[in-house]
Amino acid sequence: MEKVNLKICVGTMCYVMGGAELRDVVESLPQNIIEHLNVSYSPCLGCGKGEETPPFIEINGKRVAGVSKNSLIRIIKEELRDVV
Amino acid sequence: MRNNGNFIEVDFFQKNKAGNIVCGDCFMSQKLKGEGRVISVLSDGLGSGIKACVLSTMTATMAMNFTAMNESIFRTSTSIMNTLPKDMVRKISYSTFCICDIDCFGNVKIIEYETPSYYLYRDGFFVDIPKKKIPVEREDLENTFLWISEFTLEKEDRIIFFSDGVTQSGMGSPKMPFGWEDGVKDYVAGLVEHYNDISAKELAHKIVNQAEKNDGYSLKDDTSCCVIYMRKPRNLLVCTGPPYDEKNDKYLASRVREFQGKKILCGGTTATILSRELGASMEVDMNIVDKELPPISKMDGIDLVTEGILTLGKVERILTAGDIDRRREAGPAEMVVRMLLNSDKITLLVGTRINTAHQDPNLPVELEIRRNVVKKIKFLLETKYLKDVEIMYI
Repeated sequence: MEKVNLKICVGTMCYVMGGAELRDVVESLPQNIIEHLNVSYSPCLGCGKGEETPPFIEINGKRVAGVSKNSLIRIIKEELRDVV
Repeated sequence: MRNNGNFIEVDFFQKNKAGNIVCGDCFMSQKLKGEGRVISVLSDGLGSGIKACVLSTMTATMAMNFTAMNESIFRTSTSIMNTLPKDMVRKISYSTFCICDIDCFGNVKIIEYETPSYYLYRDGFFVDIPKKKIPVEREDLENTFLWISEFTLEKEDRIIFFSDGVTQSGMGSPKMPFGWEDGVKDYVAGLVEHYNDISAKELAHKIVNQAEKNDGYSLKDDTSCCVIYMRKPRNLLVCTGPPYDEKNDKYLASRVREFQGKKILCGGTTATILSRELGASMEVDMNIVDKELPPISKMDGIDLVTEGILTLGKVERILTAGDIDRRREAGPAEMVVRMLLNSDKITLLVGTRINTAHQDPNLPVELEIRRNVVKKIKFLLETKYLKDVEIMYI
């Protein structure tokens, strides 16, 4: 199966609103999950102009707003439900 | 300070006598923007410790202010000698000084009093400038003279002056029983031959560190060295913030592309705009980490890409503290500061679009207004680090 593309925004707003913690979450994931992920970072995904709140991530091209530590794990599990 | 298109880099470095918490030497440098002058003063107070520090600071401050007001050297020196407090033991008031005054045409006037002679390094040789000898009349000391030399600074010239901590380092050791003395010349010549474009900052550091080594890593006297280097300016462009009008994105990109020198981008949105306009791909580099700041990115044709306002805020804090040489961290802000300090002419290209997302009062106070931070950085770079700084708003 193809890897899941996860892109985390590390722009100013996303970073201060909790994006900094998302990186720690990703790095502490167990090996069997990490091997199915393709993690990258972006200096700015160019969001945050509308009503949605940062931090933003992109998972397989879908944009998700207001991601927290817990919801990130949930989102990743959701994407990988067939594998893990 | 610029001079016929050249830049005069002034930098100095000092280390205290082993065990002392303050330095008995004092260095000051000031750039008089209106007149295009650069005045640098180094003074060494009698003895070491707090007393020497007070003496040398008073001397340097007075020498600096009198010189800036174009006061004659006789009045300057007389005033200094009459003002300095007398030493209880030695019954003299004493501190040495060296004043270097460079005007907008590159004419240099150096006035030395009881300091080791300065060096002028030009085209691989040390040039001896004839000095005018002027006796100083004072009651407590006889046979002291002011030495005045005047010449015109040429491109790639280096003027090096230091306190006697440098020339007397290593004194008594089998290798150099009378101290380093003229060995300094060989050391400087060797260094410059090897690294043609060694900056004033680096050269000053190297000389002081070598003096410390001569003394077996325990300096016997306060040791200071100042280097003045006339060079082609090293240009740096710092681009931060998106343009007020989106139509100017292309203009911003052309400014960045055509700039001759090193380039830094500060800001995610700015970087995204330039990545699009320049057609350069961008990748976040997670190898350089600072817990307080978002990571840097890599982009072709750009020397450094960092996050914006948080990084600039930290840059401002580091510049204010002035402790970059002691910092061990190598995060994004430190990288920016090092690049700033290794440049002579800095252009700050500031986009003025307000980031609406930053206007939420619940956000941390560090999210300052970009323009204010940039202005503070400009002020610090000009006054504290004697850089040429220009801000352009788009």
